[in-house]
Amino acid sequence: MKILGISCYYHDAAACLIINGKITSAAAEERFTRIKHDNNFPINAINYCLNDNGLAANELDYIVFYEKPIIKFERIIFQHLQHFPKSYLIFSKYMSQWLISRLRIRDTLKSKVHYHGKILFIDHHLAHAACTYYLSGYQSSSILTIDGVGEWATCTVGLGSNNKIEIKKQINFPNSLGLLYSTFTTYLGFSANDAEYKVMGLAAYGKPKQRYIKKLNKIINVKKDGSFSLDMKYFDYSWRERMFSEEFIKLFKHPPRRENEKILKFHEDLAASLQYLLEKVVINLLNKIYLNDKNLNICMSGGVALNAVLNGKILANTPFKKLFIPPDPGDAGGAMGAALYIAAKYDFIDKRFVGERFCAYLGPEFKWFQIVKVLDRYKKGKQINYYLYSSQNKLLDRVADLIKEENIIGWFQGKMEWGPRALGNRSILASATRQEMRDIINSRVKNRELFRPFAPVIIENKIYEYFQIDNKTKDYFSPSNRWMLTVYPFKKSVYKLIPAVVHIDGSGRLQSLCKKDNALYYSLLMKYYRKTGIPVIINTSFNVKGEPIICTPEEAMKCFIKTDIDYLVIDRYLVCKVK
Amino acid sequence: MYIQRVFGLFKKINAFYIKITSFIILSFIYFIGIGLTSLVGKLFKQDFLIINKSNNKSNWCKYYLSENMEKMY
Repeated sequence: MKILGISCYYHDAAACLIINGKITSAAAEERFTRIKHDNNFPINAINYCLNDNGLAANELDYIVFYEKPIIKFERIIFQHLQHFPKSYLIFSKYMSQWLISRLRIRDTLKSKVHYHGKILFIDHHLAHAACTYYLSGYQSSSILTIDGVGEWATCTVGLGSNNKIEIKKQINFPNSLGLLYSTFTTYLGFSANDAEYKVMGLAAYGKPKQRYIKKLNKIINVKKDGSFSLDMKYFDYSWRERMFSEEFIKLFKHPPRRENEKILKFHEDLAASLQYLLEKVVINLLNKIYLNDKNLNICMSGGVALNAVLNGKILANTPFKKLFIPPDPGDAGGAMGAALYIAAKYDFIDKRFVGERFCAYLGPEFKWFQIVKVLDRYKKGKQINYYLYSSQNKLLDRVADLIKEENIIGWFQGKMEWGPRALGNRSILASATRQEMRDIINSRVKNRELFRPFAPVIIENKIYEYFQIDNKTKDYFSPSNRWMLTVYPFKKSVYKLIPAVVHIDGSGRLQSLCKKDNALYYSLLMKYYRKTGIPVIINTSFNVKGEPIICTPEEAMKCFIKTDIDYLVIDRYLVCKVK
Repeated sequence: MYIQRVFGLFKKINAFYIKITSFIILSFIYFIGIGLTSLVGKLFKQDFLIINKSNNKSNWCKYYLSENMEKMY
């Protein structure tokens, strides 16, 4: 059975193809259109999935959409009914999109994909739940999904057992932890649905202050059963684009920060207080879920599950022993979840490809002749030189030496990663042993804010030597660690060994690496380890600020040329700039 | 070249016409459809988004699974 899942029209458009129980291809639309968080109909991602498997659209058994558009439309109409006439501007801006495209998925699939088969629609949070539960490989597990908003739900709790998912209860819009976090993101001068991770990073520079926590407690009311509600007088997101209200500004007695304004202690402490509150609310909710289900496994999904600092505290602060978060818990992951749900219901999910064995490298890859064509063009333009290494071993040896010599390496190999993180196929790699390396990459390569930390990639069996995760009764070897979804504190003894990846609060968002996940990347890290005795290097996404991660060799070359990356390794070619 | 220019002009007029028409239609829908319903609802103290929930102990709602996946609702 061939099932295509798609998500679009809200945050991140994506497509995912499952053939006979195996996920064969998946990609986000932004990688093809080069528009970050592109939410348009994912025609490029769909074409990639079909072409990668040699399929015509009408050979598909089902196309599954990741939400119920009419229920979502109902919620939007109710928002306007509640806020008439204040909501006129937003109505006139977005309503035509609903009428022209968002409610006409069937027509779009016919006209753009030329598909005339069965089209299914599943609930937004059910797609999130399916994405995490079916990928986890757990026989049974509690499930928590939290995001901005789906149709009506913003948070759901359920149980997965014997390949069936039962969602039990939900919290409805406008009470939303995701939108609460996004509101603060915009108040702190960053963009919503994009830069929430910057607030998470900024939080480490501040301290949760009692005076802000008291104010936050006025905004959110946490009930005894773990549910919560927001005091809507502080929010305007249900009727206009600015998410916070005048009351919100009065409460914090501080004007909203503009994008390029200086970050003050107030902003850092407020971010820290918000992060503290989010952790408190979610961990309280998880403890209630455990009391109810008595299940030792927890699967999480939804945009809030991208909060790696929160994720890193879950096992230590709840009775759960295993935590699973899929590589893309956000809306793009909904495409995968929708397809997985239908596969489990009408077909089957091949257990050989889920859980520990799930591989996140599902995007496009390029043949050597396609790569050489691009390289030759740049060589003719006298911009680069390149060398072919016939032996992979020699190439890895050379690259490990270059990293040791503190060069910045663009690393382009094989299939592009699924999800928002670069996992070693579209990555920038560098040594973590020098403090200044963080500022060098931030300013000369990525052009991004200097406060933002870099993630360490570490050989999986060295986690306990470098991170303070001493509770051996819990499973810290979760696949979520392989997808950079958890932050743990480093041991103090390693601060001086790898200062470039130790964040200001002593933590790091790790990517644990094992051989079966990515053999080439693992071999490179092992080479570096043998040369230096340090099993850790910097891994950051191969892109610059404001752009999606690169997808093609051409994009790799453009990024390489316009930044201060020292060498580019693309397949078996080592590329350097002509100076 | 000339035909292209004329064609471009027609495209611009068309886009302008679509904008004006959709503005008028959407404004009509908003003020008559949404507006009247909202006013009547508010007259009967209808809380459309259930912001002021009476049950203060819990904010959980029951989840209803829509069985028919072929429907958009």
